[in-house]
Amino acid sequence: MALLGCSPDLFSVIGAVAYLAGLWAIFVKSGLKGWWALVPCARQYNLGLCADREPEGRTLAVLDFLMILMRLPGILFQLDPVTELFLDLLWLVIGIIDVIYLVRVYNGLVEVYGRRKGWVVLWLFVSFVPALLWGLRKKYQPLWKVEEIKSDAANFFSGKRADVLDKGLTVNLEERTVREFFRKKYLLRDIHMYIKPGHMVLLLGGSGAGKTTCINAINGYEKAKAEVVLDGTDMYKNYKEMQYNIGFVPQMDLMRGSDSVFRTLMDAAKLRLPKNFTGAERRARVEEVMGIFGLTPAATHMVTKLSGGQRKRLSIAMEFLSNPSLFILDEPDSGLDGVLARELFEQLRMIADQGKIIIVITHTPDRVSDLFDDVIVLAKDGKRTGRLAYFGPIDQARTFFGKQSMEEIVKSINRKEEGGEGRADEFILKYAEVQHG
Amino acid sequence: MAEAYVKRKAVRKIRHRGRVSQIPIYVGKQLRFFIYQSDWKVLPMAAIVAALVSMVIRKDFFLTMEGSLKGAFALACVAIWNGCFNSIQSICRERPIIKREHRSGMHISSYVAAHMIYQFVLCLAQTSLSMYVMRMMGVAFPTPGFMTRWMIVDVGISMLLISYAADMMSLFISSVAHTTTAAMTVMPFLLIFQLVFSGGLLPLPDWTRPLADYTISNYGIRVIAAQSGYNETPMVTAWNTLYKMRDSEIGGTVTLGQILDLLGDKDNAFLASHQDLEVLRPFTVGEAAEILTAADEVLHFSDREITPALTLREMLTALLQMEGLEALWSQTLVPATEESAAVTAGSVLESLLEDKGMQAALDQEVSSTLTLGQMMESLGIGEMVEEMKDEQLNQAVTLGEITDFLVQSEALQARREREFTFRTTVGDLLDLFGEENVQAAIEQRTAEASYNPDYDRTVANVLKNWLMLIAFALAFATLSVISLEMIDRDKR
Repeated sequence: MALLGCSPDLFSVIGAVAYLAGLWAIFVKSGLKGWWALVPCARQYNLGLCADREPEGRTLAVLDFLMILMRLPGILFQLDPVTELFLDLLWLVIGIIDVIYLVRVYNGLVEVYGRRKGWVVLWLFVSFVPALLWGLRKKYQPLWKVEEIKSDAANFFSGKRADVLDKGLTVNLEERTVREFFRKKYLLRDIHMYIKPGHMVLLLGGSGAGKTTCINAINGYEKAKAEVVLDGTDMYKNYKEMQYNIGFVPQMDLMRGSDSVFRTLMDAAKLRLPKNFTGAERRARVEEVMGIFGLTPAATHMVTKLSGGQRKRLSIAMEFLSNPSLFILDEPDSGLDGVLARELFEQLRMIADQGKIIIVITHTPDRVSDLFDDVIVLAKDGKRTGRLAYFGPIDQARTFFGKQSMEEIVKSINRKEEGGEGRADEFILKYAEVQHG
Repeated sequence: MAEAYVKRKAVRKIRHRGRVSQIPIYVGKQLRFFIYQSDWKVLPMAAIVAALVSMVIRKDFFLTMEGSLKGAFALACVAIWNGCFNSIQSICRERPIIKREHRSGMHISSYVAAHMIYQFVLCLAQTSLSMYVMRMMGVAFPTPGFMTRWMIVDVGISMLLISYAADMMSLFISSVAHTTTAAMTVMPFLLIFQLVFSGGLLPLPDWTRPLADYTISNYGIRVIAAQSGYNETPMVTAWNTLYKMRDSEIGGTVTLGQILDLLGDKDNAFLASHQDLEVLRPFTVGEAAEILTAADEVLHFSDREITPALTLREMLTALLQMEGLEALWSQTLVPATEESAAVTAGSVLESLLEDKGMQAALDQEVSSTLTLGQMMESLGIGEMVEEMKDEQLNQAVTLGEITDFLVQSEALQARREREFTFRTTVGDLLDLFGEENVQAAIEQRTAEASYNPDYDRTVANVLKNWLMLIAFALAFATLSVISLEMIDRDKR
């Protein structure tokens, strides 16, 4: 600094100005308004957007705000040493977290600009240098921009509500949103369907398309702006009563290893079966379900000792105890070989044939697609909102997408960055137009 | 069976198990977890920890202030350690399972209540085991107890409550943490906070004292210290340290001026506050003589020479100037004539002193040195003391009077530069003042200085701390319920 003929303070000011100027140019390159660089906190959030690290950017903005907040009392008031020390300590702790998140954001920025990781060190210690370089030189261009993708599908909605009938499942989901950093984010929109009793439905979609969000919204676990009616009863309005009428089998086998199969089912029966069931009735129901799922020989085995297939069947049996009319299974075949998976789906088909609705998420649909009646295809539109790309009979789905297999359908709607064909918008729009008539 | 179920379902108003009737389901699960998984390991661990701590505290627990405080701190630490390890992983390790079961109708309050029951039983077992091991290791619990008939039960109840409060605190951490790694990362901070801010062994700066009110260890130490009679036992550290220094020599040189300045320092808070302290009670001559005799055994001042050897000149001069001998020296040896004046005994001595031929003889030493003891013996001091032993020697003297006298003494002020050299051993001083007297005084004074009202051995104090520990346990259990009620918000 002395060599440059500047005092340390002047050098800091020049550095800060250069950093802000560089950020301004970087924001513009990424398709954002440059003046955000001048707004404290918002600057960090937008930097996160440029780095394709939006959550980290959001956290950084909050941390920056807190750091300013820690400094304000000291500027405005004469603080006693203890309070000052306490605030300094807080500031330091927040500062450490801030640096960690900065590293994450800079890492993202380096990836977006396709540069070496070594740049992160420069960004951390002399941030104005890379900011100026990347912002002002044409050689440095982001591989990804924040600008909104022009999407017809994202702005077109069928709006056609499914009929509500005494039997079966009707889903009229307007939207499922979350608030993220004072911003409304759409997870799902415009999903309308009616599933007949006794139908087994395949739920397809690429990663992040909103499959789990969709089933959580259907079973009322995560409320959406929707009307979900099962056998004539509104599930949202009667969730307490209806929750025992829905069986949800999670992807992981969530059971305690220290219990035996029989004890696991007995405890599940105590929770799920009505209170007026006697002990003998409960026991009879447990034995019946063990028989259905082929678990009787393993009744006394500890859960930890079960095979993958047995564990999966036990997990399903737990939900089946209350004889639900809607059964939702999240990847029940994960970890199972083809033969076991086939057996499991055949068992599910058998349950569906008893007049129950079964919705299944699976990533290997083709080996069992013949067992399904309908298919739901979810895809992300241009605004990254989960939308219905297709709902209907499984055979017609092949015609609709022009594909021979379910896996090809998923590939066609996946984004190009994910190795797909990136035709999600096309099918969302096509399906919405068909529905709209 | 299926038909029966359908019929029941047709009633529509289906009632499922309520909160209370769900509790036994989860208590059973916890017990099975204890038997079949690794939870049972906390019992032998508690026994080992209790044995290790017993080795350290058994010597002076219940006997001295330091022993009581050390014991209270160690036992509180053991209980907190046990409690924390019991439950720190108990919820977070099965968080996805809880989420699934909550979805299937499990009440969070029932689940936490089951944990509360199970953990209480576990803490009770651990505490019983710990107390048994401590007794086996030779920790002497006095009888009778304070709140109950047995002290071991008293301390056991406190240990149980501390352990249970810590257990519920960890249960809360476990309910907030999403993974066992996160919970185990937080735990050391909790333990350090509990130990550092317990206010027990480590002295806390004033501004951090309020933090101690939010630690379980603080109330735990208070209640065990109160039960062990902290405020009623002697403090022995100062005496023990002094006793170990018996052979240490004390010595140095100070000027009278330094001593006088010290005594005359008006800003000296100690002197100011002890002005009226009676430092010298009225003594009889006999008591004073005993003290001096005892002092002489240590300081040997009777062996000190008090007179240097005298020359003939000094002796004669002294004799001439001695009061009471004037009549002797004025006695006429040769009456006066017309030519000469009368010759007196005094004039003969004076002429001898001035005689040139006598000068060499006059400078000869004519007496040996004299010790204080010899002088006192020759003066018959012992007989005089025996005769006057019951007579009062002095009035009571306060510290203020002594310091005023010394500081205002012109004679002393004139000798400010005079140096005093002293050299003795701590043991000699202890012998001088009486070892037992010094021990009693030091233990009493240090105990008074270390008195802590929080450790008062009263029923109200013990009950207050027990209630605080129960309140901690209930508060953390409630927080666990609140945090787990939000389990649905976990990332899907």
